[in-house]
Amino acid sequence: MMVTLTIDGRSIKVREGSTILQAVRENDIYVPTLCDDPRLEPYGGCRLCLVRIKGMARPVTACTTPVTEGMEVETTNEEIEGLRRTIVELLLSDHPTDCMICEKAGDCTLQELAYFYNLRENRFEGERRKYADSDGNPFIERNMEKCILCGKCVRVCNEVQGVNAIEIAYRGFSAKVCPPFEKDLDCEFCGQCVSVCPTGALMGKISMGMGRQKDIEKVESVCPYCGCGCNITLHVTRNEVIRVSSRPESLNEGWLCVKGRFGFKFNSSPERLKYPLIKRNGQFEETSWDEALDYVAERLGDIKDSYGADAIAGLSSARCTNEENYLFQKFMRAAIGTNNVDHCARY
Amino acid sequence: MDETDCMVNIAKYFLEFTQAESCGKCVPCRIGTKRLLEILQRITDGRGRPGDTGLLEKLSNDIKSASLCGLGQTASGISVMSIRPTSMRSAVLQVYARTFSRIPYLKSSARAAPCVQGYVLQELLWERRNSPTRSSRRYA
Ligand code: SF4
Ligand code: SF4
Ligand code: SF4
Ligand code: SF4
Ligand code: FES
Repeated sequence: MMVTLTIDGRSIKVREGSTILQAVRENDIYVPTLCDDPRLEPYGGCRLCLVRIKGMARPVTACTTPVTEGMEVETTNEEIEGLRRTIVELLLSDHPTDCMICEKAGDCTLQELAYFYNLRENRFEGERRKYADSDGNPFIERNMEKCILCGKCVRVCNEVQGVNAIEIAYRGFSAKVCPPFEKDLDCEFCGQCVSVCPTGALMGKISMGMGRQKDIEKVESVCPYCGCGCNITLHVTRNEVIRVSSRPESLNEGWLCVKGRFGFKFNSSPERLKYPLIKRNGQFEETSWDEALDYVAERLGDIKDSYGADAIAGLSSARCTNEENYLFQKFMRAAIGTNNVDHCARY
Repeated sequence: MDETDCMVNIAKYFLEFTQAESCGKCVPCRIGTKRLLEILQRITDGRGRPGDTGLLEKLSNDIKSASLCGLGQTASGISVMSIRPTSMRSAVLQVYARTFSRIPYLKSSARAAPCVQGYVLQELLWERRNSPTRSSRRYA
């Protein structure tokens, strides 16, 4: 069922049950948001997406209000922009204005909004939350002074990852996102929370100080770790991968695991294996593929002749493609002649 | 509580309550009521800044329109009512009138403590300095 409504004077048709925000986005109308992510449940916390609906006493949040037939929505006017401005200004009044040294600068929604509303002076300057302690976990830099309490990290950890490693503790002005008992984060370190955070409150430790956003070249790739084959985007500066992200519209919806998101340092490791090695006199020596393959074929033939095909077993990898794994079992069965073949992801 | 109590102190009391009760989910209530309280606090401490009463009213109204639940929506109401520049000023002008018998008696139930009266008089002076044609009578 489709519903027809009017947004900023335009007649618009959307699916019944959509929210106003979905309708607005489908039609390329800009409404600022901080706590919304299309992949998560609506929250209604940041209040930036306020819109006016004809006949309603107060402005309502577009992200939590479903459309109804004949609704007349206004997404921008002086009153609404004034409210949005006040909200951003309030957020900035409790925010370290650290953009000069912040990893997120250039890719930060809060910074973008401050730019959009041209906020320099702050009418509401006052006390700021100050947290001295830093989180000792190995993967995620948590700077809760920069947190705007949009709750996205909490929701993604709960709704998508199913881990519930963090929650919002305390309340009012003292509200704070933290792991149980404010201990160091101890979770799967999937980094889903880092990927949805609109500010620099959550960043990958591995990427800290590695370069500004503007210098990054983004290269689309596929995660080499497992058979899921998640789509990843490599952030490259000076020929070095400094961060991995994933696009929300990819097959894995932008979600990765700890390996895909943070396990990329092997890329530039000096110990990385780049050539085949043959052990001679107790020492590994670099060699050519031709020589290595001839050597393997010869040794496999010798073993098969002396002890039979079943003396040989093959273990392939989830990091190979389906086609490669198919070929490998074909090789073991048809060329070697044994059913001793398995795959690391099959246990 | 009776008509001799300072309305600004009452507003402060209510805002302290709101601060304790705010869940912290939405921005206007979480940070906004904190800022309202801070502004009131500095006025009563004698550190008020020019334009503070207007800022209070603007912020109160924005919190009222933008908050998620009834707590934020009503929390700022008390400050809108009790510290609305006009009513606070009328309270001050009332004292002023009684003292100097220059301005006719102004009807208002809102009273403010001496610190606030001092601030409002100061603010009137600031404004007068900026627009010399304005008369304090207009605030009645
Ligand atoms: S989180 Fe955003 S607004 Fe805050 S300091 Fe970093 S770049 Fe600036
Ligand atoms: S890294 Fe993953 S598991 Fe850990 S808090 Fe973030 S979303 Fe939850
Ligand atoms: S840490 Fe980031 S995602 Fe989590 S609530 Fe704070 S700003 Fe939002
Ligand atoms: S290792 Fe993780 S990120 Fe990489 S493909 Fe597998 S699940 Fe996806
Ligand atoms: S996006 Fe709607 S309230 Fe935050």
